[in-house]
This record gives sequence, C-alpha cells and structure tokens, in this order.
Amino acid sequence: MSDVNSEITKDVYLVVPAFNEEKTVSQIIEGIAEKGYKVILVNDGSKDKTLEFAIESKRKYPNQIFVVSHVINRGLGAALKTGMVLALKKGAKYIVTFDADGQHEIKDIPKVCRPLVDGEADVVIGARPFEDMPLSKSFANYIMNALTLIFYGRNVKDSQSGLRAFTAHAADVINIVSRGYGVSSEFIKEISDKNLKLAEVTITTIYTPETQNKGTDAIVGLRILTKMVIDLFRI
Amino acid sequence: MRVKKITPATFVLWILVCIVVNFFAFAPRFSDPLAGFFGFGRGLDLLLVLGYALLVYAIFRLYIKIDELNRNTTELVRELAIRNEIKLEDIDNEEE
Repeated sequence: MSDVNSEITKDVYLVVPAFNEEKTVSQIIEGIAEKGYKVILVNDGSKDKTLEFAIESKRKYPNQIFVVSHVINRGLGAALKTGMVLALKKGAKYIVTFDADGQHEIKDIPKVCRPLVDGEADVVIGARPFEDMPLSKSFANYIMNALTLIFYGRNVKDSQSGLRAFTAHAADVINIVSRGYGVSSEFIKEISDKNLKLAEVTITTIYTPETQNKGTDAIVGLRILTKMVIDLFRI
Repeated sequence: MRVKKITPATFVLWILVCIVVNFFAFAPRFSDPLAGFFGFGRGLDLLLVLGYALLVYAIFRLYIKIDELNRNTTELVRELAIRNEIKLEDIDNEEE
C-alpha cells in the first residue's frame, strides 16, 4: 500500500487555484479535506460563486480548509504562488498543487507525496498518460514537452501537469514569475536552475467537458512559446 | 521607493536628438552625405530606417515596463489576499 500515513497527511497542504470553478470547487476541496489534508483554496478573482461555495466548504472543515482571494484575476501562476507562500507560512512540510476543475484524482495525492517523504525527490510531477487525452490536447502537450526540452534542457513526461508536489525547501527556493499557464514550464526551468531532484509518477486524469475547455491547447501553447522566447532576453 | 527622474545627460541627449531631427526635417539635403556614409541613397531612407529601429526599441521597452507593472500588481494582489485570509468569524460578525 502506497498510502502516506496520517502523521504525514497533516503536514501536506494542497494548493488549489480556482477561477470560475463554482461547479466543482466544493466537491474538490471537501473531498481533499475529508482525507485529512489541509487545503488552501486560492480564488483568483472569480466572477461566479466560487468564493461563496469555498466559504461554505470552510464552514464544514474550518481547521482544514483555508480560503484566500485575489481581488482581481492574476492567472494560474500567480494563484499557485499565493497558495504556496501561504502554505509555507502555515508551516507546510509538503505542498501539492491540485487543479480545481476536477481532472485529478484525490487518491493520487499520496502517490505524488511518496517520493518526497522517502527523500527520493524534492519535486514530483504527476504525469498524465497522453494516450488517454483527446488528440488536440495530447498533440499540444507533446509540443510543450519538446519546447520545455529545447528551452530548459529537461526531458519530462508531462511538462504541463497541474498535479505537482514540493518539499517545503523546494517550494521556498522556486521562484515563479509567470502569471498564466506558462507557469508549468517555468516550474521545470526552476527545478533545473535550482538543481532540485525531480521524480515523475503516473497519475489518472478525468476528462469532462469542463476540463476539456481548460489547459494547454494550441493557442495557449503559442502564448507560452512567445513567453519562453521573451524570457530568453530577460536578464 | 524608487523615484526615477530624467538625468541631465539624458535631457541634453533628447534636446540634441530634437535639434538634429528638426534640422534634417527642414533641410533634408544635408542628410544625404550622412546617408551615403551608411550606404543609403537618400537622407530620408536613413531617417525611416532609424525611425523604425527606434520604434522597435520603444515597443520592447514598453513591453518590459508593462511586464514589470503586471508583476507589481500581482505582488500587491497576493499580499492583500494573504493579509486578508478569509476568517469565518469576520464573515459572521459582518452579517450580524
């Protein structure tokens, strides 16, 4: 059994960034809290009832669910960083980033934490099997992997995965400046630059109409590429 | 707090650029020898190319500036979010 024991569970903080996720947010954060983890929900300037639903969930798990809110939308990368900064402030030993759209399985959390707990890695990426993805998504993700290799010199199975786990040390040294979806590639860059040990574990991905509409498609891919090129000129 | 004022050197440089550009605008034939030196047939061509280069540079500088502003805004929004972490007591007190 690869389950992380409850002693460790209490040291794990899940960071869940959410932008207009009223349909799934309660189910996700309550599901995580139910398993004994602490959750930081970062509402990224949602226009729907995401924040209200998150507060309702907090009433059910007041000591496990923490809610912070960006007054305006600042993007996935910014929301992740806010959550990670807060998790470190609260004394997290392990930080797991988890998408709020319902594409990740809660049972994968112990899987991505295991290499950290065993001291085998500083950062773990939950790799989604590309065979399970719709064609347009898998193509975009293959391209992003290739670009991540070209720009950051790191060959990873899934550079754009939203399920990642960090030790407190790794989360502290990783410096994220990307605001949007480019953050996933930037994590890889930082892992390389800071010489952190990276492990990849295969995770399950649930594809629903909601999750299909988000994430990396060709347009987002192009935007990330532009960002990567511009970052080359930055000192 | 960083207050950036224009330095005397930059001020003089911009004045010089203004004088030179205006001079060539009213007396374009004087720019021809200079254009010839750089391999252009006419002074106007040189001016156009220089203008284009200047615009590209300006756009690049603007991009960097906007990016910096964006980062500062994000930092501000983050700080606000963390300082104002949602507490149930506060919500309940407001409702009362």
